[in-house]
Amino acid sequence: MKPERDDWDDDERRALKDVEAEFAQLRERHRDDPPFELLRAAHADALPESLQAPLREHLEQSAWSRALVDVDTEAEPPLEAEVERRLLTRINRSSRSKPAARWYTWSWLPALAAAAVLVLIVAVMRQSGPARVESQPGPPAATPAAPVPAAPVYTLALDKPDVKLTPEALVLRSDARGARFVDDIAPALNAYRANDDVEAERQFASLETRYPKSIEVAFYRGVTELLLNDPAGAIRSLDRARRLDNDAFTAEVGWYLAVAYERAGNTSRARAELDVLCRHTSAYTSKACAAAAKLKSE
Amino acid sequence: MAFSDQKESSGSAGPNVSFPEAFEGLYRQHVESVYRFALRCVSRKDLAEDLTSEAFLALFRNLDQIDTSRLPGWLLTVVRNRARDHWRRQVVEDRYVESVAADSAVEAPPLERWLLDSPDLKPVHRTCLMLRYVYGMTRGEVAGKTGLSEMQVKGYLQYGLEVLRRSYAIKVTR
Repeated sequence: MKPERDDWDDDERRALKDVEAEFAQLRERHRDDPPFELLRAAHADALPESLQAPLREHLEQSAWSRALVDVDTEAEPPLEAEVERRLLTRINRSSRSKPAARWYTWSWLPALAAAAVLVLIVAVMRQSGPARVESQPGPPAATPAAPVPAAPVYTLALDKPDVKLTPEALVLRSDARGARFVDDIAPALNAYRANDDVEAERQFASLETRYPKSIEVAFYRGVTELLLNDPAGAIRSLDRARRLDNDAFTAEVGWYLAVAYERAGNTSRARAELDVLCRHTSAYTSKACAAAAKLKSE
Repeated sequence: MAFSDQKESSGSAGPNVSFPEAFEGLYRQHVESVYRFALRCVSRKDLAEDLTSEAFLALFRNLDQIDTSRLPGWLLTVVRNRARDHWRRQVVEDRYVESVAADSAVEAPPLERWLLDSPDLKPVHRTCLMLRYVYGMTRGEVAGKTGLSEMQVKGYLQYGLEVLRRSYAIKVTR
């Protein structure tokens, strides 16, 4: 915390003259408080869980910090027309920079037709191949993930996991083309890192037939589906990741399955996943135990 | 949801802007609440604008798949997820997780009790007084972090100090 500022005007100096010692006491008392912006983000449930949990607890216990972040919204000035226009222009520019997003224009018709043919071919090929529930890659309009708004508050926060690759990923190659897996998965991971969830989901879906044994493809597709508010799709992908039985992702798969089950409305399955995580040591143990207890009490 | 009307607007937002009318209508309806929420998530106007435009871009790209009756919840979820990414990148966890502590067990001093309990102060007055005189921010910093204008901050501080002088400082000095 910064010390007393020297930019007070005369009115402020006069008003604070008699209580300056008391304000100094408050400054000392709150010297180690978490920063305002973090408290406010925690109040909006907008922090990664590892940070959200302790700050949520702090807010519950501290009337001072609760008062600090309780800025009434009616006091805020209306959004300036210039900002509103600027934002719309930015959105427009960004949408134009990725033609794929402008699916509604007629220029997509040839691609749509080609994709439809591709889906048909793949569907025919699949009849003799291994079963796969999800649809194949297609134009954005055909993407299976239907992002349903997530207005409800969930016990299990959806934090986006960082990307990690197994050692096997570094030597894996496509059976058909001999391409390197790490090269093929790069566009999907780049989209994932850039928070372009729709594109990431599309890319991961397209990799599934080429790399059916890749835990990375199944797991990150499941997470991406969760980010797109498609818990049913996430459960399918994460179940598939679980069947691949890779120790490097066991805990992550369990945690995100629990998240997906809660969002799908199946809290008993979510609790079952959390109970397993709670009994085994991993990076998710403590928060799984806490979340399981909370879910049981609800 | 299906938008049957896919024709583009006449570009009321500017010469380079043309969106389906349905999207532009949703944008105008929700942009303010989404921006305010983004500002609460990150306490920086420039970042709040980034998060807001990302959320609406995601909406634009998924327009045919979203049940608009559940907006702005979907948009706020996008903002929240992006805000979490932002805070994760700040690598603040190590710095703060261990230092986060509950309030001191020592009883709050009179001025703190007055600030929290005074019926003459609205929440916004409290926040401005705390940020300026306890956390040592300039008026501009208070404005930047709260989304208020600097003039508003000045006004709220003047009122807060007046109330402080009338109902607290006088009692103390008697």
